[in-house]
Amino acid sequence: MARWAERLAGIFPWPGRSTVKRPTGPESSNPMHPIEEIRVRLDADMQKLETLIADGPGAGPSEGDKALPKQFEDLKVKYTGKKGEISGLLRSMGTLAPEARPEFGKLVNELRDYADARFSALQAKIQEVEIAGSLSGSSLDATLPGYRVPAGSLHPMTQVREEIISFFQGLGFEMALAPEVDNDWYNFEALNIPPDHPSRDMHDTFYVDDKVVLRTHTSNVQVHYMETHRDQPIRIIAPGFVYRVDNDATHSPMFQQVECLVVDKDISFANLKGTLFLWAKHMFGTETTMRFRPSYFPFTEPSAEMDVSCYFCKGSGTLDGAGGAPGQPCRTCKTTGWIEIGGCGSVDPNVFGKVGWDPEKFSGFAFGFGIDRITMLKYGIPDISHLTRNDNRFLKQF
Amino acid sequence: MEVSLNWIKKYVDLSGSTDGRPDDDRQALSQALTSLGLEVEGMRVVGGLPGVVSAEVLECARHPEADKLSVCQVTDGTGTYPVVCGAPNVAKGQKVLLAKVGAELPGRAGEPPLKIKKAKLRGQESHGMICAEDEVGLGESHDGILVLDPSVPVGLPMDRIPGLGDVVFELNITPNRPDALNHTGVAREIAAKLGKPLRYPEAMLNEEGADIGGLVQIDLQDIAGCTKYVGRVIQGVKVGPSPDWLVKSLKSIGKRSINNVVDLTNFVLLELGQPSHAFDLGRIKGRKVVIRKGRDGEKLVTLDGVERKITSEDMLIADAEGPMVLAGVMGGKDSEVGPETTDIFLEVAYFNPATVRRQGRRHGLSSDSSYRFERGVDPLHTAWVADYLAGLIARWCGGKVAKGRLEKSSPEHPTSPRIVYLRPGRVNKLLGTDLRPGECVRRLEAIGLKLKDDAQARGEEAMGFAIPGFRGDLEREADLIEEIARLGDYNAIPVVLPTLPLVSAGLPPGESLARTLRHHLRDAGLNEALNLRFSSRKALAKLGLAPEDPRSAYVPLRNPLSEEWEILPTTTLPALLNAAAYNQNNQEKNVRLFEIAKCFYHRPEERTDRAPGILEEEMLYLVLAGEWADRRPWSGDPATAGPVEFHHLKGILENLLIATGIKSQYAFPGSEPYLHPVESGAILADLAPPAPGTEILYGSKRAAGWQKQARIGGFGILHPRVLGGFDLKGPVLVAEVSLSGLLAAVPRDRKFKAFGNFSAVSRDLNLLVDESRTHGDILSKMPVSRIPILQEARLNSVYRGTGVPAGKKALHYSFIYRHTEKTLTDEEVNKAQEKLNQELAKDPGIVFK
Repeated sequence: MARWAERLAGIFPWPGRSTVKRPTGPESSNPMHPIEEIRVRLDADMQKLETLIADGPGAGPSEGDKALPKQFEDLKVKYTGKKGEISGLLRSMGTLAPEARPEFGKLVNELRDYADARFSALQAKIQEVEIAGSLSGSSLDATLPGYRVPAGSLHPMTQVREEIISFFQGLGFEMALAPEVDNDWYNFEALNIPPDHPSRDMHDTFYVDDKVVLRTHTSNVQVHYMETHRDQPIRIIAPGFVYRVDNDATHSPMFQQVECLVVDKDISFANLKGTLFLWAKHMFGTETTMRFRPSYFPFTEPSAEMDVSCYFCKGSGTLDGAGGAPGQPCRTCKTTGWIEIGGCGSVDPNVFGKVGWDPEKFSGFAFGFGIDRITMLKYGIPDISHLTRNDNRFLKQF
Repeated sequence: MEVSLNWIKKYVDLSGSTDGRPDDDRQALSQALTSLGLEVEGMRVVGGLPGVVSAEVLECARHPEADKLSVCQVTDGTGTYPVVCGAPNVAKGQKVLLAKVGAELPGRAGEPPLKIKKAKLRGQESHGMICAEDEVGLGESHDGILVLDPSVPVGLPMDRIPGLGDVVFELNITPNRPDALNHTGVAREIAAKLGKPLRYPEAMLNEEGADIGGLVQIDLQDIAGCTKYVGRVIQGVKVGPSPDWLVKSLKSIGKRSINNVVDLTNFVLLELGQPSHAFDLGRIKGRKVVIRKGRDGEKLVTLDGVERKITSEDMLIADAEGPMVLAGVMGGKDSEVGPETTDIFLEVAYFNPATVRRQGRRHGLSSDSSYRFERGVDPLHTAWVADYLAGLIARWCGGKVAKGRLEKSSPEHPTSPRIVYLRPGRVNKLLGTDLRPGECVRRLEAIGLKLKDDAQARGEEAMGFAIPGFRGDLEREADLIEEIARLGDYNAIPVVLPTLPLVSAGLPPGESLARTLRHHLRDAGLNEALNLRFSSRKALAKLGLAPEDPRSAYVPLRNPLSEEWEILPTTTLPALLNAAAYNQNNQEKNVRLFEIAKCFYHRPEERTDRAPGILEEEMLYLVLAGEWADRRPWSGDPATAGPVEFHHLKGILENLLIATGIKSQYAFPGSEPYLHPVESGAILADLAPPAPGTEILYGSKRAAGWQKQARIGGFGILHPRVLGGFDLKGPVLVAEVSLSGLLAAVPRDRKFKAFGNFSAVSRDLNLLVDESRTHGDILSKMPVSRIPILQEARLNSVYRGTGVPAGKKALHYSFIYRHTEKTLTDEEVNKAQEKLNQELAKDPGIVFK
């Protein structure tokens, strides 16, 4: 628009009838060009409407607001309608000298574009005001409960089990399975637990008959897997249910374990510690520390129990640093600062012998821990029977 | 097993200090024991009373107003207290037991507990009490105050004063360590850990009696069950109460004193781990001790008063007439040592561990003796223990030890230590450590192994070690490596990740499918359940399965925990229905449970040496009850609530099948006996040849090729009879689906199906049919597959009411036509619809409205 005045000057003076009075003002005593005159008037009319809007929405739905759309439409017709003033300019073009017509046409079209842009901007503003007005009238009670599809849940043990499997899968452990009802050979004998051996006392066993038992541990997977994957490196993770004749607040006759077995040419006890430490930090947090205590499992040598630092009290035995009162004892670890996680060890040479492997060539490690126990620790579940009672009030929490 | 710290101190000197802490620091000792693999499960302080400490009498003056009382100034190192004392033996400079203000004493026999308060005795302040033996539960004596040894420091809590207090450790000894089932054994471990010598007891024996050969004979017949039997005789014994030290020793770990002879055998068992048995020689008929198998029909009344029926599998110690002892397990009443006994036949033996174990199990008996025999006692020590014990009996019970000992043994019985070879390089390879050979030797010798001189015996860098008899568990190099690791602390072994090749680690197909199902059902609003895998015949019977149904072939347990858990489940439905009833009883009416559970089917024909003849199958179960949707609890919209219906369950199953890519096919009604005879269905699928090891429960067994339309599951409304059987309020909906069936039905690959962007055209049809006609029936009359442009025949409504005659229903269908490559013309659509109408019109039961 800035250069309008110059361009208008080129086709000035207005050759035909000039009914328009030039605005009188101190700057200029020249009569205004009709294109310029329409623009000035349009600006003034728009200004008026815009002022109305500016007052509008905040003041609520006033009479002026309601009249706005109508005034806008009238104005729009007045200027840009088919019979509006801008079209009128074009119709009067015939009165111009032919050489002035192209430039005049261009100028009128620029004016039309200008007007259209102003009107659509104003229309957007008016719509906004209207929408704002309609929204502020809503009486929705947003505090009412949401409509929900019934919320389902996965058993907490399923969640912990999947987390453990995923971790070891990431390290390249293949998931393996073994029967839950198994021959004595797989559950005991091949694991270096002969009949009439006191180590059987460590397993309160459910019997189907003399030779068939409910497996007492997931370690039977070691025998099944090594028998069917002879003389090749092994890296497996094997979750599954196991059974013991035992039933109290911390023991269930059926519980879930997860077993790991790694066998290769140069696997050491230090590797066992490295792998377990990595897992413990993943499961219980990077600050976790661990300790190993000698233990006895007939199928590992050396055998160990692994404890991790209690992740509730960070191994301190009190809940001082974990939001508890000063000196409040940690019940999770019974103030010892340690939590028993599971048994582990290097594969006993006798087990290699039983499955036909050469213990001089291969070494390995195995570990197993209770998924129930980790689940109970993780969620603070006080009684193991919750895990199999299937109380809606329990299941829905996970 | 329990061990007493005072007792341990007889064999290892704990007075020194390591790490700036006294070696008898209980916590440190407890940790050391656990780090050695002798896990401390509990620690019990014995003989202590809170507030009672050692103290010194600084001043002692006569009470100004009472001749028999003294006014003392007593210090416990932190404070000095005035104490009025009535004992005649109190004196300046004594070390005494002071009960401070606030202490609570148990009180003498028959008196209430005594709480110590500040008091004034005839005008003199008294802030505590100097104690006599009986006042602190140490004995009966009230002759005067207990005067402690002058060396006792002041301020020690009573339980830490030597000779008064004790600590009992409860140890969890693993079955491989019978050597630690006694005090010298535990002391040996502590001594090794602290680098101190073990003070092992010595035998003191004077053979002053007659020659044993003329007194008794031994006949060892069962040389498999007893590889070594040693007998000694002590004559002229006075059976009576035990000496004080013996009573105290036994009492410290909770053992009752019986008489001096029996107590000494128990003492030696607890001291050395070797069980023994004392017979009244006078009661051994024929003066003949026979170690033999039992005979069917024989009977023996054991010490617990129970009459035992002897079988030919039992091993007995018998005399000329009959059984005296269930060998290694428990003695008999008849040969028991009693007050009138004068001559004793002492048995020290090595019994075969497995024999004793079977024996104990057969008779439901476990004793301190059998516990040790079945884990293995020291086979090289038998005669020595007989000498040692005979010496003790002669010393403490009087009498003379007969000359000589009777010894019988099997040629199999070891006579010298086993030699086990160790390659130091192997130690480091298997542990991941960097230990020097000398360190390995040091650790092993600390627990009694001896390095042999024949270092090069095996032509390699192996060291031979003589294994002491008490370590029967050390048989192989690996066992020695474990000892080296154990004695050096597992926590000192480095933490190193293994270096392994990259592999693709997948999940087994069944696991992937189970995960898909679990996650899908969770998202569908169901809660995953988990049931114990135990069931009962009674629960199973409630389903009414036919005897030939595979689910009737259950596997019973030989030793179930209870009647409700007597068999392995062939279906988890009873357990889930019980869970549903449990929830209903807890005002949890809306039950939406699912479970993927393993079921067990008896397949005796598949039994082999190694295979148990039991098929394990994973099955999916769904149980729905109560209201299906509670999504608009406050809207008052009746359409969104209401009891769960057949089609809710069907919808869940349909979506589930879509999620796995399986095309759903059904047969109606289903044929499960536990389902509604009409409102039920069976799920059908086309099955790929089963992979090895999989078997489809519902189909014919192990189909060779593709199996069309196999039944892989059933679903529907629970039969009212079953509903009642489980005390459920209905309706309850259930589904049972075979996972291996699903797995075999999952398409190998899923392909994209092209859809056109050209707009669809629909035609509607209202059909009037008899109430008995089904949607599926009408649908089957439509030539859907013969009209390629027909994309969908959609049922919009089933209407009964105004305008529809009684006994009829109006089905409103919409047919969606669409071509993938062009816009359909009206004519094309009309032509197709006409074809469909003509087909329908052939059925006289279908009326166009």
